[in-house]
Amino acid sequence: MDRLSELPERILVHILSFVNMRDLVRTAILSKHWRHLWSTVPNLDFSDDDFYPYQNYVDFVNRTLLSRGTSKIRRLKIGLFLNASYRKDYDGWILYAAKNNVEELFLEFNQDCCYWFPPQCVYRNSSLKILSLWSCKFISDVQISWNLLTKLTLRFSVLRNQDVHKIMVGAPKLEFLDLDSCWGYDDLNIDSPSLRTLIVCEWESVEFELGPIMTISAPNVQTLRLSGFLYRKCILMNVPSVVNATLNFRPHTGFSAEKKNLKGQQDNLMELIRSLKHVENLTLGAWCVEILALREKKRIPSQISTRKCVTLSIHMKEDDLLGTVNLLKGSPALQMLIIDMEYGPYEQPKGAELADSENFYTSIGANYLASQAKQVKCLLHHLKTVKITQFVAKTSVFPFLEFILKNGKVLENVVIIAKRVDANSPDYLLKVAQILLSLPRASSRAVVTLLN
Amino acid sequence: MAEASSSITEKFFLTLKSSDGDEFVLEESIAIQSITIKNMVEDGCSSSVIPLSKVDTETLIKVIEYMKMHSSTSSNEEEIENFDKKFVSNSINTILNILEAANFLDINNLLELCAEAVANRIKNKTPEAVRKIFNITSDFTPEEEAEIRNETPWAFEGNLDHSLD
Repeated sequence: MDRLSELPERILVHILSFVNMRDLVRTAILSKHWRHLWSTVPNLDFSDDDFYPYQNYVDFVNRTLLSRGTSKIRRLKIGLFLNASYRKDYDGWILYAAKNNVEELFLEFNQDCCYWFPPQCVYRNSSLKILSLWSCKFISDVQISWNLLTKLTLRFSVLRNQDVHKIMVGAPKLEFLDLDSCWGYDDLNIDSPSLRTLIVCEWESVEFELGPIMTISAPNVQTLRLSGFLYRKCILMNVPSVVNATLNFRPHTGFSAEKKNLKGQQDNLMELIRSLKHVENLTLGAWCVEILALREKKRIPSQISTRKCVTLSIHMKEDDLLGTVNLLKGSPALQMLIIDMEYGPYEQPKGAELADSENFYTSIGANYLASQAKQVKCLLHHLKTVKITQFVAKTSVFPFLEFILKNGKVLENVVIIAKRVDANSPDYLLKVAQILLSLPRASSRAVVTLLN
Repeated sequence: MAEASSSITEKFFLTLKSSDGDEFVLEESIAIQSITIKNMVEDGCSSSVIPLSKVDTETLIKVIEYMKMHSSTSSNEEEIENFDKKFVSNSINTILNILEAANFLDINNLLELCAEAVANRIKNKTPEAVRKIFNITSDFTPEEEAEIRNETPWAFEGNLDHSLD
């Protein structure tokens, strides 16, 4: 027999748990050894969004689950377009998984108009450790009991304040909560003592349904990530334990996307940053840095004052330089600055909103940075490390590094990690290295490292 | 001087011997990513050379490379990520050797990495391609094959990959 087929069955099954259902059932034809192997894999991934005809796939899922009997099922993932006519089938699959003590359940239905109501066995379940629900709505008198659940993701779903409360009470081990593009809540009271990570991505589609303010209280959360559209005022009430915070909003593009709204969004953002001034690691997305750049242009200082580390997800456009300077001025005790030049999945590679501002930077160029050096206090005593990850050549990177090296009195490390792209050829990186080495340094301890 | 020498003696080293008889000296803190080796150390079986009769020299070199990169003293996540990406681009035979070694040595992360690498050579491939990649001989009659295709015709339709990468 061949080497793969000779592997212990346990390992073969493990290998097969990485593939989806379409790939999995196809292995039945490889040889007699493989004929029934696929049906013992405990991870079932029925994700076939564009399967046609739908009925045939539903029949297949039904047959597959039926033929498995009571063999162990660890993970069930269903990623189909939600079709109301098959609700009974869906319920049957979920019930089957629940009866077989499924530990990871991903019910990731896509939809364009309607929601589905998870069956009873989802709300009260003592084997689930990871649960992901898309496009769902909880029944109104829901009773939740998830003894072992540690990770919960809700996406495109309706979640009312009282549902959140029931989750907090009913899931005593919950550590991770991700509310992605959900709506129906305006007061997130995340008071679970076990919850460490909270991710909220705001969705604008039903704006002002609940009024213009959303509050979050999360006394035990250590990692907080807020993203999506800043379409309503977001207030952090009680977040004393947060160590890592990410603010990665996109500008609101809804019905009232006029410029006058920018002021409100800017104030809201600065208030959020103020509520997070105690965190050790703060990450700001591209749009947040654009707002800082706008403030810099208007000579408005920002108080950011994060003690340890700030990460900026920016592409080093010219405006980003201004945003970065605004940030550095507002963080007098900053020790580490990381610039991550990789874009997030939703970010646009261009800051269209601010592009109409006058061509301020290009005219003044590096001189503006130089003129601000005295006001960047962190360069005198604290800023030790500057790191650029996913580096690709942008002209703005060089004036920035020049500024940092020339003024960073206690600088120890400047690390540049090049992104693996054709533009970063060895010849090119050598030139970059030569430029970097030729720049004057204020700190004799500063070491510049360029990694490919 | 005294301080310097004490910090050197704090590092323990193990000697691993491949099935080809080659010996490799490795820091204990790195080697105990292998639960099999860790257990041997804890049972006091590590004073002399540890023979790994199921792992040949070529494979052992790769496994040690992996353990060095993934040991806690080593550097950042991105480097590890890049290393792993390159690691799984080894030939399928090498991957299977490493997978078996990882199973024997009980290095869970490495086993996961190799299992996924093998799975990636099954994903979206035609059965014919999978058979060629792994040298699997079909023992089905054409009638039996037709029957299996008939059970889930949709799984065999669409844009499947014929390549052997």
